[in-house]
Amino acid sequence: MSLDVYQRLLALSRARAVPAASRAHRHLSPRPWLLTGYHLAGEPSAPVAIRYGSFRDSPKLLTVAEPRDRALRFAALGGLARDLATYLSRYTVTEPVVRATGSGRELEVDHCCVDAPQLVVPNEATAHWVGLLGQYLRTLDDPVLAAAGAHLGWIASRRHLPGSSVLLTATDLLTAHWRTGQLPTEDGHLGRLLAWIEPPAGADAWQAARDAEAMPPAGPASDPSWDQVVLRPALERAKQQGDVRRLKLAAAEVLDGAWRDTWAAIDLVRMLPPGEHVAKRWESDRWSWTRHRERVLAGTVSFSARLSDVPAYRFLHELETRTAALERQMALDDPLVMARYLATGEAVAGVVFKRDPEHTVVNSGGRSVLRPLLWVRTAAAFDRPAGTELWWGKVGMVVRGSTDDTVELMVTSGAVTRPKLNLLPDTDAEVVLAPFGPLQYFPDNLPDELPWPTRSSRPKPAPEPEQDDDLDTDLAPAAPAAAAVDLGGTPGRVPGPRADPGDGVPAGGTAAPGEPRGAL
Amino acid sequence: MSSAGARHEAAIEEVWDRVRGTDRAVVVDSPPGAGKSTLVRELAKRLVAVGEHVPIVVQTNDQADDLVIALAGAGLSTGRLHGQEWTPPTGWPRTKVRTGTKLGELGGCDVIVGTAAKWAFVKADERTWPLGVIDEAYQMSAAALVRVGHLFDRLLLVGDPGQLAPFTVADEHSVRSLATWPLDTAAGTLLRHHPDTPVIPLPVSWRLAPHTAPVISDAFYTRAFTAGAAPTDRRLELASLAHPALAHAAEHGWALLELPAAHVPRTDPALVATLADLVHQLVTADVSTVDPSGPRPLSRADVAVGVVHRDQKAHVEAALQRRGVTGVTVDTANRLQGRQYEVVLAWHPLSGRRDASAFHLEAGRLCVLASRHRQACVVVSRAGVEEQLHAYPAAEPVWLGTDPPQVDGWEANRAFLERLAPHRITAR
Repeated sequence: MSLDVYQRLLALSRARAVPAASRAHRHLSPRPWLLTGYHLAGEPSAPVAIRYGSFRDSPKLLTVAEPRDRALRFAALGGLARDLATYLSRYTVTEPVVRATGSGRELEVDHCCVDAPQLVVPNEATAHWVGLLGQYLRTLDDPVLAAAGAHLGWIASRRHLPGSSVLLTATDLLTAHWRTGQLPTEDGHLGRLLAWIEPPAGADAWQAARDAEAMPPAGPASDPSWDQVVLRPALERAKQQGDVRRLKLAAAEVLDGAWRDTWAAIDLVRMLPPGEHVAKRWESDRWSWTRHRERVLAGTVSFSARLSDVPAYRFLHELETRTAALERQMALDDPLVMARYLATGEAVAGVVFKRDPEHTVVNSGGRSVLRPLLWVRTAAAFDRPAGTELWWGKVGMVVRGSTDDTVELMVTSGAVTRPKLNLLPDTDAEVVLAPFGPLQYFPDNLPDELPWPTRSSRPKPAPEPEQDDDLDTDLAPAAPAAAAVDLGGTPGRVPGPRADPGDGVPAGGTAAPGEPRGAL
Repeated sequence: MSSAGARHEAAIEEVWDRVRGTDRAVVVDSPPGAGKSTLVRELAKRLVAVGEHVPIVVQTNDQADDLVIALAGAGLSTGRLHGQEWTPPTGWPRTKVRTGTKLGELGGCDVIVGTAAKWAFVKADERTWPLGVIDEAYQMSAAALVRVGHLFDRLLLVGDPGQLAPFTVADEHSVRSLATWPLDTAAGTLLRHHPDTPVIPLPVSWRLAPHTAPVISDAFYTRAFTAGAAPTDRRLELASLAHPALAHAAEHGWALLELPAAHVPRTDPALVATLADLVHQLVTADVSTVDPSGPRPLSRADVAVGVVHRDQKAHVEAALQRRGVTGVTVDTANRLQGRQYEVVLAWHPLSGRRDASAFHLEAGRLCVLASRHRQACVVVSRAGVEEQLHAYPAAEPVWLGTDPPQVDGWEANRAFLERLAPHRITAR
């Protein structure tokens, strides 16, 4: 049985969202930078209005009186770029960090920013738009706009990495922690989602969701009838009479809902205590920010819209490592997430009712070795076969057999020597045995360049045509591997981001080949 | 009959000529049970005979163990390169074999066998080889090939193109935005970058029975193959009172046992019970398998249950344990690749589902499940899969920078089901 399905049905019957997590699984900055806005219909590079800033009650508002006029557009975006630079300048303080290098035997002192910026937007579409704006701006000659483009590019590139909190969407924040009774696609509408989680007093979720749909959209695409009835006259007026007051009023009014909803989403998740591994994952974002800043200062920031060659393979390794680490960490941090594994039968919960710490078996070498036995009484039958591996913290065990309400387990690691027997759970202890052991770290083992079977032997044809960044809208720039992955379970060692080749930086970035990666 | 043997021999000699020739890489396409393992063993023998050292890259530890046992049995001094956690399986040879976690511990071995994951730890500055052999090259990903490719000057890739495509735990969409497709198959990526590479198909399946091979060939392969066995060579003798599905499969090679249509959870309890009951009957009743080497009783090692998800495997295994049945293989399609059994019971990937996702439609998944048997295959499913297929036409996007799969999963599923229609048995 899937707990997810059950929770959705429960939400449906209650006409109200139910919690899917009891911990916050995203890092929440004490001072995030929010952005919500509209662009001209069909023209993502022509912003009409953007509301942004770190202060809930005094947002900044950018409007472009003639969005098609590039001079006006860049002038308006220049203001946003300067404000972004001011916000980012708060995150330049570094602290010395001792970390292992190379094979892990040597130590060195590195400097990591003590905090990193965080951008929060209402929905996935706006997050995607941020990436597009970054691509657009970073190619410009204007240094302020180009710098903002580089920063937005870095921010957007982190979105693809599981566990990163640099760019958050309010819809993701909420769906990661609550289940609604509506379709997953409907959860993409921030207003509807909030209506399910906190319907106004007296209203049920369905009514509240319908009401929310009647509100202006969260962007970046605007409501066509608003375009026609409000925006068009306001733009006419701004163009012909030079009076932008009406435009500003209309923009402020229409963006206010998404602005407040995004803050409301942050407030809701802030009420949850943070998961234990969240800070560790944020640390990897801080390292990435540190390296990004170094590249900005050195003028070596570069982006590729699509990764190829070795960085593409490194990115896959990074994604796989992060995906597995995030899944494991969330389950270990949060009983409500672990409950999903209990529901599917991958994990088992119960009370230890018998122990045999002295039990031994003869190993393949003919030696007698300690393999303690545990018997656990469970609420429901554990239907996995003998031989299934389970973990209780660092203690690993295999299932020897089960009945309708008991499981017999043999401890195979973590507490198989006499001095460590005290690490076993006591009789009468309540335990949750999970399918997650100490995470093993595998190096990516990638060569510095592709071997002959995986690259063409014929000379390369003429260089590929220049990528038009504004065109590849569906293929947002994927971030290449950042080395600083939190892999958990390696206390005392800091992920080694020295060789972090950087987000959005292809091969030939600042990291020299052969530099140690992830000294984990 | 001898013509099948002659065609097979001719293909083997062509491979050998190519291996001794100048092509940088050679690909051998081998349908299920076409003698791929024999080919690898035979080529290793010939290469050692002419003084070569032969490194062989396989994909799983089970495959490596099987191959080492076969090579040592053929009298070759073989090294098994393995990881820290590896323990020798039962039947591990006492002579001719060395094992080690490092290349240095395998000095003097003519053939060295290890998984791709293990070979990735070997550094090119340690040692390189003039020719490397990659087994199961369609199961291996480009990402794995990148990690070992530099060790070999030339490559022989052997594999079954009807296998499952490599997969990732990561969000595939993020990976699709790359200009390279790291989850391409090793053979696919090599052929893409070296299109002049000769591809030699093995024309005969020695595993599949004459009445089951055409279905597999038609539904899942672009290069047709035939069965090597004659229609009278093999049969399965069942006691009376066998389940109708088993009786039908014994006679026709196929049976499609359909439970009433229903949308059910992935671990459909009725399907679990049906499979466990069928296995129980197979291993407790008096069943003999007959082939040219003579009749013998069907043993538990001759039977396998192929499933789609790991939780299905767990449930079926537990159900078998409750019925006191042990020693029967239950595994996912992914892990059954390269294995062979007399009788296979297969959990249809689309059974009881409301949708038909790309994962469940993948041609390789159904192909692996349906092509592990020598005698008979019973596919067990909820009714209504046709309707499901027609309600979910294939809608996979075309991705830039990658080749489309040779065989379309939706069409393969439809064709397979159509060919199995005459073998449909309705469960009570």
